[in-house]
Amino acid sequence: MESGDFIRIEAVSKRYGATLAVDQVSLSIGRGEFFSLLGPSGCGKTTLLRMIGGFTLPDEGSILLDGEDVTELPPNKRPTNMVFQSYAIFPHLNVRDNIGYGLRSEGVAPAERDARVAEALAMIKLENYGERRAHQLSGGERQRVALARALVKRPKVLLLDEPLGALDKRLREAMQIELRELQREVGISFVFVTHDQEEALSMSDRIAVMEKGRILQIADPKTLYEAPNSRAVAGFIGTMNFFDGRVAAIANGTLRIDTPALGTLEVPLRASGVGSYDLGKPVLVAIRPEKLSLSREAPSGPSVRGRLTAAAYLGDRQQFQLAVEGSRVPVAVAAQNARPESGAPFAPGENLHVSWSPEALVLLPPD
Amino acid sequence: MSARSISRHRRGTGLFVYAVLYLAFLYVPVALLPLFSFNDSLFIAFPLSGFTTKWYAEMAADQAMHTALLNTLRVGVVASLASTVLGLLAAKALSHGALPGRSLLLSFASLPLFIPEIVLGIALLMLMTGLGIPLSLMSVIIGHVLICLPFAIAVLMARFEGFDFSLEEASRDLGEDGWMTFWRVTFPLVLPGIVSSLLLTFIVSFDDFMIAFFLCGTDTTLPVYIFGELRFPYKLPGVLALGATILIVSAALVLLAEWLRRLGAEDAPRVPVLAA
Repeated sequence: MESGDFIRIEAVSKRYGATLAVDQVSLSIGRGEFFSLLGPSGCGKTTLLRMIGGFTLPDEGSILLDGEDVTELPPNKRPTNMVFQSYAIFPHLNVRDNIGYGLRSEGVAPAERDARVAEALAMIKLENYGERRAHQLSGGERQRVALARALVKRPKVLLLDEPLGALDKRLREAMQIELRELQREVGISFVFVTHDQEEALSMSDRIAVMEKGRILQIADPKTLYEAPNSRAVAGFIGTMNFFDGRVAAIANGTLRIDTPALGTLEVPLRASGVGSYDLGKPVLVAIRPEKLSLSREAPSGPSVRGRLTAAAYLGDRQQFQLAVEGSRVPVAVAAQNARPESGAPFAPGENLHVSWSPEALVLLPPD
Repeated sequence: MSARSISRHRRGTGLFVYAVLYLAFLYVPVALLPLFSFNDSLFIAFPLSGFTTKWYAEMAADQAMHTALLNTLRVGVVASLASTVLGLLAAKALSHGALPGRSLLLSFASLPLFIPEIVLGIALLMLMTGLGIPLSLMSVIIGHVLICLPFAIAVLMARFEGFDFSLEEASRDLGEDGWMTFWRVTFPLVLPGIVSSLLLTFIVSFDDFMIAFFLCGTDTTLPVYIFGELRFPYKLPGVLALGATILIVSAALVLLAEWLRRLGAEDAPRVPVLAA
């Protein structure tokens, strides 16, 4: 899937007035990779994408594409194409002319142009929409036309700026699958900008999490979720419970950590965990809500007691919040409704046991 | 019928009378022009003495008038083209929200609208003589571009309002340079605005007396010619015929400009509202 550094971004910075929109970002994207830039609005992800596309020039650093330095090249000279957030479908042209727009400047012969446009229309399953105008298309159809218009140019890289943001939830989920399939089919690199962590997780080969112009972590979705490298990443991707702790002992690949909330924990050291732990130093212990379980009877493994303060039934799963002594914030617990419920449901006010398996604990550097 | 509905009825009648008077105030003076242009008498007074079209025939035969009309058309075409091109450039720049000092520039661009034309005329006359530019149709054109520009900018800014500039970026992205992007995307999308700016600025130039009066030298334009003709009482009905003709043509042009503007407004490119 990844073959070397197809796109190389080296120490790129961009300043707008007093704010650093992109701060010394370096990363590599492989050939044929689905790469996402994920972060809250204003984190610099769109600026970075626009620099790859040539719409914004970096103040510092360089961008290499397939071995060629494209840092200073204008958008019309780059082997990249973009799907804009607003889709930017030309309102004065019909769908066919929109898709064929970029082929005219390439000097593609009319006959071949027609063939490629027809092929693109078939790809997006809008064969009968050639004569329609932008205002006669739904949001999802516009999105596909924008996609076809970019892909018909056969770019080396497709850039997508929050392309699903304007669609409703159901359509968005369908388009996520469609986009991913399309990317596998055409086999080119996609750079995808989104603020939706679920979207990034479900589609990407790798994700770069950005905040305030910097990259916090670059990893595949599973690593990002299971082994985030900081509180910021762990908090941005999904929900996470955090507990303050202190390293009490290090022995036989296991750390012993004292926490006010969960007592003394035995945490197996993992390769993916944060590098160094010093005896007596503070450390942050994190665990996902779905990796905690609740029970009325004391379980055999490690556990603490807490009082249920809130329970929400969400159809496929349930969410609980518990007040646990020693923890400033309530502990979140999620349970899948995999089996028909047996016995009385947990009621707020009940005292319950919260348990976990030591492998599910993640150690993070303290704030 | 209750007392309340009577009063409402009366108020309706009152408003109707008010509206009729209002329209009469606006259009009766203008309507007198064509009316007397068909009146078979040298004197502009009621009762009307008979129907004639001789004033129109007289007007059509007037060589000096033809020259003045041709001058006016020349000035109007050049001034409207020049001010629309300059206005297009300014409107495009001013519509980008990111432009520094945007509101200040915008005020400066529309300032000529609020300078009395007589002041502008004198100022331009001083400037032209100071620079040694001979008074001719050229100096009139320069003056007319100045007074037309605010109109061109206003009309074109309205067209650029809400213009999705990512359309231009998309064109660049798809391989076109700035020049081709203008011709393939920007120009067709703002075309209704360009046409309506051309028509409007042409009328502003065509109607102008004050600037032309100061700057035309011996090359009279139509309004200046008409003003001169008013010295001769026997020429008055001919002037009325001319005035009536201009009135009809101007009104037709304004209606056309407005119609085009609305036509364009319907499929104007708008930034879609994103449900972010």
